Amino acid sequence: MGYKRLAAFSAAFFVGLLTANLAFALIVEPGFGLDLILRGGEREGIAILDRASRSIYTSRIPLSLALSLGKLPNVQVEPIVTSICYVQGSAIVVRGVESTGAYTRWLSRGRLPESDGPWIVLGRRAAERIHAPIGQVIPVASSLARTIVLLTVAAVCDFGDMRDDEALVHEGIARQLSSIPSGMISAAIVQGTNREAIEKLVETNYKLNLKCASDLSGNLVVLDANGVPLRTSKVVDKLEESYELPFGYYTIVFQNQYLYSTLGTVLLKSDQSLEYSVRAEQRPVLKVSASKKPVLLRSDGVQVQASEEEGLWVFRSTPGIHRLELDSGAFMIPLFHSATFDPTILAGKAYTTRVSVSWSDGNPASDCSLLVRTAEGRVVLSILVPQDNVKVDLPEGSYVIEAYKLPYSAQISISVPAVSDVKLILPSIKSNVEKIPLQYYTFIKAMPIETISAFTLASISGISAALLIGLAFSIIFLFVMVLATVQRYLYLSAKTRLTVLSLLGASNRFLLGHIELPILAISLALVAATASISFVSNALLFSRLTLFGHTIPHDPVMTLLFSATLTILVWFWGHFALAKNIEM
Amino acid sequence: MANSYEREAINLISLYSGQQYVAVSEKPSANALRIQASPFTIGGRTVLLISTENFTEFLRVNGARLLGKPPIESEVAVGEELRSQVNNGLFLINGRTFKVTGYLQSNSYLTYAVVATTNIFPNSQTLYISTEKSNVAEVSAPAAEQIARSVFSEILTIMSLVRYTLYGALGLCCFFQGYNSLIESEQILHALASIGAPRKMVNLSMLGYAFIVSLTGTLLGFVLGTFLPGLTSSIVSIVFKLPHLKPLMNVQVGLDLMLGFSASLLALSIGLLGGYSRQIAAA
Repeated sequence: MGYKRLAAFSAAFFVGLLTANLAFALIVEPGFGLDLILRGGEREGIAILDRASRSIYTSRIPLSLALSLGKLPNVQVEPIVTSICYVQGSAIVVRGVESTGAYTRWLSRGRLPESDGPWIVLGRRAAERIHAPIGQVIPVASSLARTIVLLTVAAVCDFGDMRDDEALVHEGIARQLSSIPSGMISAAIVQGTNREAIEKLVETNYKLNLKCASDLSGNLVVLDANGVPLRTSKVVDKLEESYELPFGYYTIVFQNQYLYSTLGTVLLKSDQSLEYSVRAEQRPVLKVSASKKPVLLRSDGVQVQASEEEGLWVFRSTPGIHRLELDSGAFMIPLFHSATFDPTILAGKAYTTRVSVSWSDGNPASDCSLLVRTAEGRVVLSILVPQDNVKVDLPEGSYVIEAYKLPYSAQISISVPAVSDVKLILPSIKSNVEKIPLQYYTFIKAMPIETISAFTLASISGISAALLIGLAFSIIFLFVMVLATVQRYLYLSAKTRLTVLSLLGASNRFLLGHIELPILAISLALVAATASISFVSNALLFSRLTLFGHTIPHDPVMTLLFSATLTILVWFWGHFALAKNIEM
Repeated sequence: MANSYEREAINLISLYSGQQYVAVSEKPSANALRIQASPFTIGGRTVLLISTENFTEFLRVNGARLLGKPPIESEVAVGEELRSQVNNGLFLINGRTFKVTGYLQSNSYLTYAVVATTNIFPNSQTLYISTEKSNVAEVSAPAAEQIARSVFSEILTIMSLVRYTLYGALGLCCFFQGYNSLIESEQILHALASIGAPRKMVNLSMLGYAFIVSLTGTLLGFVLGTFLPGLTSSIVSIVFKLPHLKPLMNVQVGLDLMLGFSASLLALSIGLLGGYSRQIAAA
């Protein structure tokens, strides 16, 4: 071939490949970046979006739907509150977080805020782009609402991924910026199930048949997974009611003037019938085993008179929390049905059980009264829980543990020593939560993460996606042509020598082994060199290029694969052209 | 097409955004309200200390409500979320106590703010808030239009860089095509040499050929580049009821055509002349 020709070919091929890599970095890699950005940075799972939305940033779905999906076995759900905002001359994706505790390992500068407030935590590249030092107040504008929020730059985090181009704010601030009302979220990423299963669950409503027998008159309330009351029915003695509800995790509570108690929970994914009973008496009787006459005080301070019957002190009172004073100490007794207080049962070998009490929103409940009954109904322990948890020593057996913070109450049945950790959740109705029409639950769209960006682009404009893909393919084809032309130069310039070799009887195999494969080797060596140079130059030249405020990701492996594919295509082209010329 | 897409999209977004704005800037503008803001930490919580000369207007611009009286000197109004920090009607900042005259109700950052009517807070930043859309303002909301402009600016920057790589590819392709075509025309060149065709005349013919090919290529590229996307857009708008995009003609298109023509003419001429020189030398 001649060293001069090979050098000229190598130089031209090198320039061609380098230009091709630059074009790839500017067209195809932003395409991949855009694809990831429009998915909200998520790589796996099923996205739950509002059917009418155009992207993860403009979608609205009920939070209770995400919480309900999370109750399905082996299903993990990540609720997302996010939007695209505008900060100091550039678009930035802002994500809402409940707390920054999980971000400590990525902290680069500043201090992560410990509570809610007007703060913003910037990703490393976002901080460089915005030029906002720690402590500076920056105005962040909502894209859709007439809202500008002044936020203090609290910290900078180095995540090492696309979150470096984004910002974190407290969930409440994120809701203001994205105009998402309470009770709603932008989207949810679900893992552990498939799209068909989710769509099948949400497409229809289910019947929830409730039967309730109650000693007290009151209301039966159905709360959604977010603690919002959806249905209420009056209970007098007995109630039989049928509700039509969408898929969800529901809590059924009983509520009257004195009592607010969880009767049960249900994950409604098919028609279901449930029966409950509320056992409480208008004039409950408390029997106390004690040598000396005890004192029983009602919550209003009125002393209840005692009588002695069959060796027990008997009190007839009204439902409520009572204070029982014995020689051995004072006890808080929630008295809603007749019971016998007999702490002597606790004698003997005991096992420690940890009991924690919290509200339905996860916040710890303090100063609750805890009542422990045996399966036969004998009260063995009554204590006040000063913090959110307490340890009690119980002998082997079955018990019912009740927690009261009037009017709220909750109970659970346990077996000791099989259960050593008990969690009681007090029901609470959330106020100021957006009332979401139940029909909304069936308006969601579930789609695999990888299709979100195409869906978004197709929604924005039917031709955008096609144009981008067309442009990418045109440029790849153009560079195949360029490199093929360069390679053709090499074969044409050695045409005379190749003809001589052919006349001398050189076989195709000989030409392949002595000419074409060495050319392929040189080309692949050039591929490695140009891919390395491209990666460094992309990082230096294109680091300031952004898309939706995100730096364009550059993947050296992808560049290498692109160059290698181009080269091999061109080599095959050359191989067939040479074989044809030799034949002629 | 990219420029056309940008123009159409920005017009649509401007229409959609409506006319109700709030804008914040570090530079003063007409009818803008001057405020001074500084961050502060109370009990581990970040709060904003804000002073404004026109308290009522400040609340109006931010869509907030006051429960109580507006503050005057050495008095403050505090956000609802900071109510627990108020002791006996007093609020402590940097060792100084301020009388709390009211509580701010807002669904925005003001619920975490302490607002005074005089600048009593150290190291504060000056900002200007207005309810008018202004070119001076760095940030205005709804920011859909600004975001769209920013994103289009990002895309157009990328596209303009792609253009340079395409010029490079065009030059390389023209150079080697010219060179290769002369190597392939070995017999014709030898025939020309044998009949004594002057080298200067052949060189001029090559340049003329390069000129015609470059001009034809540029014009063909322009026609196809304008016609095909326009036709695609028309079909899509008819089938999918989407807005029709007309290819936009501006100075940039003319500059691109000139650069494309120059690059191809230069590279093709060099390739042709180089190939001819090689063939003459070989003969």
